[in-house]
Amino acid sequence: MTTARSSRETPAPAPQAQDALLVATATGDKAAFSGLFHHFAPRVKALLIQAGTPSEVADEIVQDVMLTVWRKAAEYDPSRASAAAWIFTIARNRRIDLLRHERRPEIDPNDPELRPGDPEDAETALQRAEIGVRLRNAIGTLPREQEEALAATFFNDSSYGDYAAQSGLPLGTVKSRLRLAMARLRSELKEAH
Amino acid sequence: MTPPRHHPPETLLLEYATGALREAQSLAVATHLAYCPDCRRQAALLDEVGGALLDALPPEPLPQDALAAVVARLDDVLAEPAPETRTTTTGLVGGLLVPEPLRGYLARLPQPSCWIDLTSGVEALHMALGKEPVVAEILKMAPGSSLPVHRHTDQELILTLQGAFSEEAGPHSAKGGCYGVGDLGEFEGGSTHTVVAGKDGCVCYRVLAGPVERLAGD
Repeated sequence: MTTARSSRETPAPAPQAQDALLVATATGDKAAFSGLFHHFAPRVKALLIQAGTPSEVADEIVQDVMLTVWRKAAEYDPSRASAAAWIFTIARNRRIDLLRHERRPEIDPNDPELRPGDPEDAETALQRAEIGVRLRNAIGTLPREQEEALAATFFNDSSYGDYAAQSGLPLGTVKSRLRLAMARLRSELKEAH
Repeated sequence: MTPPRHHPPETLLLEYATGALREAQSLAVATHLAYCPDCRRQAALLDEVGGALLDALPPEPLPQDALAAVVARLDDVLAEPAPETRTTTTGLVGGLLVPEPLRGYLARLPQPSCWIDLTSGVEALHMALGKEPVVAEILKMAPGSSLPVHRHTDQELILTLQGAFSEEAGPHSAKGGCYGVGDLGEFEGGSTHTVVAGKDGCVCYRVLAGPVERLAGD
């Protein structure tokens, strides 16, 4: 099979450069979109393959996800999420829609009925980007079994209970690994403040 | 308005973030998020974890023409303007104003929808979400009315939209928590409780993952 060589040739853009590419994509910049595609499309495919999607089906869903990224780019707000997180949510929602034929209920950030948070808690895009970098570092320091439980939970279209069943681990063990992982990530983020 | 005191457990937020949680249960979690800035921050953090894990995945090769095929279609795809916020209210539950995403689900319910009597002073409006044996419904309890002692065979999620209810001491269970507007209760399979509406009654959205057994009171 012939493969796209791009992802091996171009160095991966840093998280903040990814955010900038997505912001530029919202203005109709096809070169910026291609940059996002080079980096994320092969990773969205990897995510789908890990979830058990056959390669050809994954290729089609990747196309659909990347077209959705193009279509919805104007909704992206860099003070709320990183480009990676935003694209993760698009891929997750398309997967739920296409493979499970369900909607994913979500808040409407502009809903007047939404109870506002403390304005002092609002993050700037820069602070949010710093949190993203620290989060990536923190994930790298997780004990292997915690990182594995977290990744399996995120990439399989199934609950952590199914991961427990597949891995032969007791459900309580999986739950506690996930809780420990999240507690550790949160404390790493706090310490760095 | 005080912020909610009862929150989804972390594992439930995690299942919502990963997409493993089914639609009926996700609706309870997502509507709680609209009431709860703290849980919104947690949910945003979990999305960031998903993004960081995605970013760290070893890339899977795509067909050579993959980018060209998508770029060729870009001009056919109209960029979407940011979606407009709908402010429709529904008369279903006495003009009760609830946040999205539940508001939209209520607005799309077939008209007329009919309430069924569950027990004295307690009515339910079925929402046709999820497959058997899942039941998703709006529960309306008159002031002081109760759901007599019952046991859940599987998980129950219940989100208060108006008023409050509490878990009272009963023949099979001790006194539990009080759940006001925005509070999300998660009761695992096997749990037993007696639910009593507060002095102003209450309206809730609840999802039962399995049947409920009425237990005989002493």
